[in-house]
This record gives sequence, structure tokens and C-alpha cells, in this order.
Amino acid sequence: MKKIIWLLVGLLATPSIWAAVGCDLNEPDRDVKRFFPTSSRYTTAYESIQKSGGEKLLAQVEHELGEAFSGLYEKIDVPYTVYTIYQKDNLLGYIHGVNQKGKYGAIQVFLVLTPQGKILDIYFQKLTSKQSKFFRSDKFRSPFTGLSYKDFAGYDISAKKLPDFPPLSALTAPPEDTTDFYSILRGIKKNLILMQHFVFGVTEENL
Amino acid sequence: MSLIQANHLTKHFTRGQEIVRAVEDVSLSIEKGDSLAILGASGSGKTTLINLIGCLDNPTSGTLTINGQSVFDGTHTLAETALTKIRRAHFGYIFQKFFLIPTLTVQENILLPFLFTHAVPETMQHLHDITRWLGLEKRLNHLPAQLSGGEVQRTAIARALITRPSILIADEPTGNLDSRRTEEIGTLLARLNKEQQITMILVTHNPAFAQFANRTAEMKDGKLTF
Amino acid sequence: MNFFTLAYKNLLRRKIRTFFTVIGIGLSAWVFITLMGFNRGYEESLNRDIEAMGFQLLLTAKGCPYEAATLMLKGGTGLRYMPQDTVKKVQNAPEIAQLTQMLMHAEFDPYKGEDGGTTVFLGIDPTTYPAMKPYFRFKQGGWFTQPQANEIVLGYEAAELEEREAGDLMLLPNTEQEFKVVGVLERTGTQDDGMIFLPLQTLQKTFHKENLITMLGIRTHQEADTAVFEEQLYQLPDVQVVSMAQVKNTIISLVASAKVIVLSIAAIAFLIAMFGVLNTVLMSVLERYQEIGILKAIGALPKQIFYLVWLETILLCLWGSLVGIIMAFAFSGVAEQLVRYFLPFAPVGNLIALSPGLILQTLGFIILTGLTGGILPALRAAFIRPLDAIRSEN
Repeated sequence: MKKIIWLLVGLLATPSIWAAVGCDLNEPDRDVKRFFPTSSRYTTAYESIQKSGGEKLLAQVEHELGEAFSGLYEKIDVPYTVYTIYQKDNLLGYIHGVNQKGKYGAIQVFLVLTPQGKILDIYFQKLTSKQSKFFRSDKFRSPFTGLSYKDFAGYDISAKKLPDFPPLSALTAPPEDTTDFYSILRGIKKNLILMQHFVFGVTEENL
Repeated sequence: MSLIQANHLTKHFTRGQEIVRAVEDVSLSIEKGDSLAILGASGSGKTTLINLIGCLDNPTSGTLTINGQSVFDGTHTLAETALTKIRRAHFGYIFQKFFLIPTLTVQENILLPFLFTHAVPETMQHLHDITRWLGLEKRLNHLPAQLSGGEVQRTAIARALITRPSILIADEPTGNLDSRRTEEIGTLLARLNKEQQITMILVTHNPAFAQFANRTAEMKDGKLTF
Repeated sequence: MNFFTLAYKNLLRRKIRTFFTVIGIGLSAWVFITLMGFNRGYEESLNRDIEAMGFQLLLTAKGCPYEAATLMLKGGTGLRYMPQDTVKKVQNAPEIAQLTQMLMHAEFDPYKGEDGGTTVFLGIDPTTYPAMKPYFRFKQGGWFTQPQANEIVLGYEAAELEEREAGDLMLLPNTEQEFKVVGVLERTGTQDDGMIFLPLQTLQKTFHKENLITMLGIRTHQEADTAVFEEQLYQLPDVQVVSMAQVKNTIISLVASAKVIVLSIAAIAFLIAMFGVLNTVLMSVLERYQEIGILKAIGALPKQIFYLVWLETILLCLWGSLVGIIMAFAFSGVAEQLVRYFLPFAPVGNLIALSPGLILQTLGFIILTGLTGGILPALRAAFIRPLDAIRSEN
């Protein structure tokens, strides 16, 4: 009986399970080691468009993205976590995630990046989709390896089709529903744009 | 009838093992309007004597009558409250140290006794008269720190006079002052005695100051000789 | 001039000392107000939280852990179910005002995190549940259209996490079926904010739990004797009853030890204040030894000196209390965060309740403390003999 009461106490306390909706790794120690096995340490920085440049930056990000932020949850003050990974004093790379609205729920698109901003891997920490298995497969993820902001800069996400220029033209969309596929591409592009501003300090103009 | 009549006043106290006979069988009478200077070296017992006469302390034995009323009858010791009430009714005091309250103005310091008793309606007029008489009228709103040494002493005198005492007791009032100021204060007290008919007992070790009184007595080893 | 002005001016003589004493009393007052405010606020918030659950009694299957955290850890394997016809056995009891059946289900989602995770769903009866939660407000949309509809209502934070708005679709883990989000609730500050609600029948069907429920929430009539009714419910086989009063008592007993510490700290704060006052006033009395002697020579009675020194104490305490009250209001947010950090369980809502009554109580206590602390210095001053004081060299 006593146990039950304690459990109910736990039920009352559950709000703590739901943290503020930014995008950070659930288990950063494990995840960092998984993507950078030789890493010795990492730092965590909290960024937001609000903090880094306000309305002006939002306009810039939306311009680079090719469409305005949408929905109730894609906002100027959403916190983003940038993990910077080191082996002793050598910079190994970055991990950074964004929330992207998918067809059936939020998709958390984490990019594992080299110090130069090239994609090493993609990690969907949260993914509700009928094609979850496909998106998590090596087959889907590996063509993105080596791509960077530059490769996505000319890609029009609102067209909802693949561009006809390499390297993105080489990607294959799943045969049936492509909604989540294009959502993921949008998430990747948004992630890369934000990293340009948060970390690399580069804008479209001076690329 | 004398204003102050002391008979066989004696005060002994112990200091360690030793019994100090500070005042030994002193009898004196002081008439209204009289002024008496008690001269004596340091430790002669003169301060102890006027503390008994001024009702600041109980004698070991002897009697004291003030204005016909028995204060010490040789049998009872008076409690602090009773002594205070007698002091309020008859005495004004001027001490060697002035003890003005540094955060109060001259006027507030002068009126301080009325905090403990009830001010009489003509107090303000009286204050005005006293301060003009003492040359303090332009200093009423100053703090003690802004006054000269003489002004501080005159403020202390004004505080002693504000309750219209019939007897003014001054214990080495010029101890801290130079000879010019000593003369100034002495002249002032002599005028007070003459013009206001205030009975005065001065205690001093300075014969020059003692001459401002009508009579002089000398204290030596607890005994008073005229 | 009066005693009050004189006391005030006396305190101003040593501004720095007075300042630090006031700050000291202020800190004590602050600690006291905050702790007493916590004492009250915690219980009030807890009551509100429990009231927000909507029912006074909860019926569950025996040995059933139904709290979300455990479900997550155990992957839903620890759940036990009651047959749905338990409802029939109790629903006609005269004590019952409202009754609602719920099914909690935890499903493993392989695409959550690296190794998968569990998501919890609550199946509710659309006809009875909303009445239990009259304070629910919809940010978007509303309740389910049909008892068997493939529809979802999301708590505020659940919607935020899933980035869902009314009209969006959702998938439940391990199913291919699409569900439509029909409503998003406003923030309630309770555990419901993180909940994903489905119609009971839909959830039962989707996860093959037909005719099973995990909980029965009961709201009794106000005049009903819950204790007696609880006993009756225990007659049902394999059922356990949890009353919210019990839950509350458990939490309160849990917090009781914290409260003892809290009250001891408050008491210590008072002692510190008292000794601070005692020290300050005693020092100022000793410093003014000769001056007090003169005051007595010029006509002050012992009781008047006592009053004067006591008044100084009261003034110090009054100023200190004001500082403390201002601090309590200014830092109540910080204090609340601290309490939340240290306590094993903190209800949602205002944990530190600052009321006018409490403010007055604090003022009263601090002044009483000051007066107690002021007795010794005041007596000391009252019994200074003018003669000794004037004669003394210091």
C-alpha cells in the first residue's frame, strides 16, 4: 500500500520529465562517445536566434532557409544546444540538433559535423514516421556524409522535390509518402544554417 | 530657615579592604540666594559631599533638609526613584564633562530634562530668556560638534537652568577650560546668583574660580572648614 | 521632542553599526517569513495539486504501479488491470458523485532515442472524464468527437514536444494507424500537461486491452463518509483504494522532517536576531554609560531610561523586519527554486505563500524577540547610578 502511495507521489511529480522544448541529447556522454570514439571531453553551449541576433538574424535565417518559420513551436527563442567535442585540445567536431515538424510528430535532427562543418553523420533522436526504419538506415544516411552548408544553400525546400544539381540530386526519396523525407531535408538545412551563425560565424554573403 | 541644612553628614565606602571616609561629620547651612565655593584638593571628598547635598547619593549617616523638607533623616536610605524626584524639584547640575547628546541640537539638549518631566507652558519663553542671557540664541539649531568649548559649557548650564532649579550645583565646571573661559563662566555664574537669586554650590580646586562665590569653605580629608 | 525621536537619534549616532544590526535582523526576518511562508504555501499547493487530480479516491488493481516514471523504467510491464465491470459494482454506491474509468498504457517506441523508449498514453472516458477536470481549457480544438474515434488530445507540453497542433496527425508506436489531434490543452501546471489522451475504447482496441482498465477515479459527495466508503470498496476482490487524503498525508509526513528542520532554522534565525539586538544595544548602553548617568541626574527615572533603551530595540527590530519583508518578497522566487531543488517532492504552484497575516506575525515575533533581547541592556541602563557614571573615567 505504502508503495502505491509513493508511486502516486511520483505521478504528481511527473512534470519534471517534460523539460523545456529545445533540442538536446538525451544521453550526451554516451552519444558523444558513439560519434567521436576518440573524444576526451566536450563542451555544451546554449544558443538561440533571439540571443545571437534577434529579429534580424531570424529574417536572415528564414531568407537562407527559403521560407518563414512556421507553426507554434518554431520560434525565435527556441534554445539549441551545440556540443563541441575535443580530444584533449584538438577540436574533433560538433553535434547540433533541431526540432523539425514531421507528418506524425516532431523529428529531432542531429547533425554530427567536422570542425569545417561537413556532415559526418545524422542522428534522429526522435522520429515518428511510417518510414522510421528507412530514415535510420545507413542507406539513407550515408549519402549525406561530406555534405555541408554550401551543398544545401541552393536547394529550395519549398519545392518539395529534389534539386537537379549534384550532390543533392543523387539522393533518393522513398517511393511512397515523401512528406517526412522533405521535412528531414528541411531540418538538415535549418540545422546547417543555424550552425553557420552560431559557430562558424559565416553568412551567405561572405561565403 | 536655611534652604539647605546638613547635619553630621558622613559618607564611608569601602575600596578593597580599606574604608574610605570620604565625608566625615559635615554640617553646614546654606541660605536661599547664597553661593558657596567648596575648595579642596583632588580626593579631599568635596565631590562626594555635594553629591550628598545634591541628592545623587545616600549618606552613611547624618541628616539633610532641603527647603524645610527632610530628605535624609539618618534612618532611611532613599531609592533611586525617590532621589530623582527630589533632584527634579530642586536641583540643576553642571558637571566637568558636559555630556551633551551629539545628535541633538543645542535647543533639544537644553530641553532634554523636559523629556523626563512635564514641560511647563512658559518653557519656550524661559528657553528664549536663558539662551539670550547665555549668548546662545543664534546657536539653537546647531549640533554640539559645531560649538566652541565655551558654548558647549554654556549649553550645559542652560540645560541645568531650564527646569528653574532653586539650587545649582557645579562640580568643577571649568576643569576643562582655559583661564579666560574660566573667568567667563565664573562671571556668568556670579551674575546668575545675583540676578536670578539661584542658590549656588561650586566645587573647585581652583581658588581663582572660588572667588566668584560669596563664601568659601575648604574640604580636607573629608572635613569641611569655613 | 519625545522618547521616540531621542531613541531614533541615538541609533543614528552609529550609523554603520545600526545598519549592520538592521541587516542582521532583516536576514533573520527574511528567513523566518520565507520558512513560515513555505510552511503554509507548501500545504496549500499540495491541496491544490490533489484537488486538480479531480477525484478523492482512486481504485486500482492490486499491486499496480501506475505512475509514469515507473512505467517508463519498466517499459509498461508492471501494469496490472482491473476488469471493466468493476465499474458496475461500484457505480451505484450512494456516496459517489462522479466516477471515471481510465486505462493507462505504456508502449515501447523503438525510434525514441538510440535504444528506444516508452511513451505513456491515458485512455479516458470522454463522457465522464472532462467533468472531473473542469479547469481544463483548450488552447486549440476540443474533446473527442466519438467514444471510439481515432483522436488524440494533447497536454500542453506533450503537444510542444511532438510539435502537434489541432488537425495534425500522429502515429502510435508499433501501429500503422493514423490518429488525428483534435485538441491541445492549455498549460495546467499539473502532470496532465505531459499527457497524451485517447478515448478509452480506442486505446483499449489499439493495444488489445479490451474490457480492461487501470484506474477508477471517484469523486464522492461532500457529505459522504469517505473512510467508511473506502472500507466498502476494499471488499471488492483484487482492488486497492488510494485516497487522496492518504497521499497528502504521506507527502506531508515526508515533508514533516523537512519542516522540523525549517522550524529549527527559523528558531535559530530568531536567536541570532535576538543576540544581535542584545549585543548592539548593550554595547551602545555601555558606550553611553556616563551620558545615561547625566540623564538620570537631570531627572530621568529608571523606568524612563528602560523605556528609552527598549524603544531603541523596537526601532531596530522594526527596521530589520521591514528589510526582511522586502527581501522576502524580492527573493521569494529564488527561495522557491531552492526549495524545489532540495525537496524530494514539490507540488506545482506557489510554494511560498506570503500573506498579510504572516507579515504581521513576523513583525510581532521579531519585535517580541527584540524586546526579549532588549531587556538586559535596558535593565543595565535603568540601573546605572548617576554618581558612578559621572565619576567613571570612560
